[in-house]
Amino acid sequence: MSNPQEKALPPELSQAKEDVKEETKSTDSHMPSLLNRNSPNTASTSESATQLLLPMEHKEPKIIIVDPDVANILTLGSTSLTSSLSCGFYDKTVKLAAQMFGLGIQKKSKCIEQEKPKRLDELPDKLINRIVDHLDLEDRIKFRRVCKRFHALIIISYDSIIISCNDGKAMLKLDNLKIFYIQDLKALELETVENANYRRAIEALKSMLLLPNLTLKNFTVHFQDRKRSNWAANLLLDFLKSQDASLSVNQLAIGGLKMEQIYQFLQYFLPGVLKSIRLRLEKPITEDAEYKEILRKISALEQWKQSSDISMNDMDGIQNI
Amino acid sequence: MSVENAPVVDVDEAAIPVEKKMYYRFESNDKKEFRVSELAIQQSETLNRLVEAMGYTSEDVENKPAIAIENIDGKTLKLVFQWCEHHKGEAIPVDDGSVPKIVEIPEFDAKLMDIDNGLLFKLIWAADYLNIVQLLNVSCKKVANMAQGKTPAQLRRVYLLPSDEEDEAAKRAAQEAQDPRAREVEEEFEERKRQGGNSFF
Repeated sequence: MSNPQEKALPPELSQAKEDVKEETKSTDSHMPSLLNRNSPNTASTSESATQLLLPMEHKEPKIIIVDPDVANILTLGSTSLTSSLSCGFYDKTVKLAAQMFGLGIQKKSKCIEQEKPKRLDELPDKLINRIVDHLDLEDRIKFRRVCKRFHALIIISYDSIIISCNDGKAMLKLDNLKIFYIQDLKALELETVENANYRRAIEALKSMLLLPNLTLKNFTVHFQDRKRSNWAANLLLDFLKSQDASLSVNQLAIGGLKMEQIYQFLQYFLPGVLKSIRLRLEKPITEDAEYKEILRKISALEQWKQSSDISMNDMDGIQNI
Repeated sequence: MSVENAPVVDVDEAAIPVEKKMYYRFESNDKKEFRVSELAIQQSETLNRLVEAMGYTSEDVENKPAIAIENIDGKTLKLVFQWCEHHKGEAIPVDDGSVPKIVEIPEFDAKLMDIDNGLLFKLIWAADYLNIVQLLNVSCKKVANMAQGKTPAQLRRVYLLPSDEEDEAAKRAAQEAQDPRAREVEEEFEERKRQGGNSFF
């Protein structure tokens, strides 16, 4: 009765104790890029990349973003820039600028000097989840990207996805969270059918559609780029085909796809679940025989027949994005 | 028990209210001792059950060795008990595993948790281990607040987490077998990294 240890210890406890014991050691081995940041001989992956990517002729005050997560700050609309100037990011930008202009760095960051860190990832899953439960969708998505364990651990959900590609820029909207892909492209890329912004948005969309047990109230695909809509739509279709997708979506809106693509696209949705289809067609309905044939094929689809609300050239929902 | 002894028993019973106010002694794993009021201990389900099960009298508390809490160091335990004393007697929220939507951090808690991240994570761990629901709520909320508006790379820096690349060598084989989706994300990350290399602003 007098021994408090007789209370059963959770299994992770003994593990955690070992972690604490090894704390000093593991800190050293896990943290080289943070602790040795100011040492000229050691550089983290992205920093060595920086050095490679910074030719000497850069005299004009142009800053190259090497770290995609740094770039992300500018593309995520609601992220405040002040918070981005904290801690490591500040260090990184200062160091970047210094490398570009050949300056040495005297300043030491306070957050790096923090002693004996017990890291967040030493907490068990349930506690990580308790923390993340306080976060909104945007922060959860970013939290998931921190490492594979968090990705598997952190649950996200959303009712609505909108992807919109227009004028070389793309936007993804998850519920109320807008994610912009608006990097300026090289002159060369402006001419090609391929577009890095569209590609990145579609890549991100793919991972969003892969969420297990996903059911969407709204799914809107809107490509408003004559030159690239076809390519973008095929990128998406190839993915759906490779996944043998059958998406659970209540309301679907499609803009900028060819009739043949719409026909393929619709087949990746669960008939019956799909209640509403809104189409914005590329060209007005004509008497063209080929066009009639594809229309006939579309209207024969179960997805089409079981939808109670079908409208064409009505993209009111999209215009309001 | 003879009849003559009955009044003595009465005296013992009268002493019980005094026992209710007694202070228990706890010892951290680095041998720091704490005296904690019974009411404060009630905030911790784990400790509360423990002291109930032990059934100590006020004499036991003084004479027997302090109750050892082997998994928590003195620095962390001090914060835990400071919190418990400040919030003693307060209603304990029902812990159904889900986190209450809105958690306000009171001023006292905010000051108490104005500590480095390592200690904060230890505090969370201790609050969970000792089952102090409200302390767990506020400490998790505090860590969540730190994450708001941060990019994955910033999160790694704030929380001193290794990136997957740094962690890769040791874990790659095992992870791939278990979690094919993680690999996709990793590829996406690599892709983003490549594309990021070409970006200007």
